[in-house]
Amino acid sequence: MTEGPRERLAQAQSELLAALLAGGPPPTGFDERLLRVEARSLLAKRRGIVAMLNPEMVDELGDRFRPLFDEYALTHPRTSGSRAREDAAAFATWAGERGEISDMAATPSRRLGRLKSAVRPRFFRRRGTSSPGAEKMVTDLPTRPRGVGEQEAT
Amino acid sequence: MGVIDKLGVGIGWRAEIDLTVERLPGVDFVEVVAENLHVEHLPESIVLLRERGVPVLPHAVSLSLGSADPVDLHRVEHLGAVAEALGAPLVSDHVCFVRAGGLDSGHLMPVPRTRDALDVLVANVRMAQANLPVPLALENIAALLEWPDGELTEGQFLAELCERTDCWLLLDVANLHANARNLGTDPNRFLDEIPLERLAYVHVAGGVENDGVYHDTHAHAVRPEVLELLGELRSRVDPPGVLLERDDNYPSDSELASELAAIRAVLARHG
Repeated sequence: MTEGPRERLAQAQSELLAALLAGGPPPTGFDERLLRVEARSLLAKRRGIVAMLNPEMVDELGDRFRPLFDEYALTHPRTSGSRAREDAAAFATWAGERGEISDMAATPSRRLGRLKSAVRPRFFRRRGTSSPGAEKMVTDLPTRPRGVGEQEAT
Repeated sequence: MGVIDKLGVGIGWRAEIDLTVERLPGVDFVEVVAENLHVEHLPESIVLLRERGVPVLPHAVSLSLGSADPVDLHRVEHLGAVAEALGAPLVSDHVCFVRAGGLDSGHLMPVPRTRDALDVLVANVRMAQANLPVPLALENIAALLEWPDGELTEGQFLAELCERTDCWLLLDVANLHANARNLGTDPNRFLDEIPLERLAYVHVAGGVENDGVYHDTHAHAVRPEVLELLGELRSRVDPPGVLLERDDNYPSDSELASELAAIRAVLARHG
């Protein structure tokens, strides 16, 4: 079978993401320490975004949030085209099914968020707060990070 | 120069600091994350800035042009629509991939610096360019890891990309610092190798060092080493624009103003 550059690249990129996101074996030739650094960084960013999107759930879980999310993330890597809000909702469902959170927290926060944005005028909008690994977000098209969606809620 | 004559000094517009961006003195241009904008519902702050004549440049993070997957034209079209809504002279994304094998990394991942990967990137960039109403600039990313068997330096890789696609460069000096610190990239050699005449503008951002690894957080102050690289660049070329990126842990307005002033001072000192 003849393989072109695109097929070879697809294979290599798939192996790398599987290793970083889904516990796959380390691809040949990579520095394993750096693979661990990268995997931790990606996980921290994903965890931070979910925490931003469902703060009520994070409050309820407290210290359990991080280990629970990390367990969820490894077995539920984000798929192409998925949205950050879907990720947050899927984690809440997963945690709810395991009895870790109440139904209220498992069904976030869209209603609450809209309510908040409706009553909070522009001048009192909350400033961003620090969260781990919150570099410039890679979101998917209709997904908006905190703040943006609040502002232009339709 | 062509596409971009002079942009000046700018800051990344974010909803959390919209009023700050409107009030800060000396903001010559801003950048918006294209995926966060809906053409039908532009934030009023962005509309205000456009009314004042401030250029607003769309910056994309999800095209995944370094990916082996085919280009997602829906994303390209959205970027182009944002550019048209804002009257922007160009758009940008990164030399990276985000999606592969059905998974989404959630962050900008480096591409292998191989001929194979360059061929795929070039084809993807051409496909994007053919579907965009304005020129495309591509940004060097901060990588935490390096692919094995690289055939080109990062500078050579970017130079060849520019030559083959006529794309522009969005040079992030904080990312260059990150790669120098974490991966041993030689920043002077990098600046020697890239085509400075294709420079659209420059990103400057803050970061933090933990356990010997520099993290490009956009949530901390700009480090002196990054400003030094900006000075090194300025001693070689007068960049059309320089833009400060801050995405989280927002400081006071006066701190942001002083970071912009520090950028201006470096440009003046090395000019």
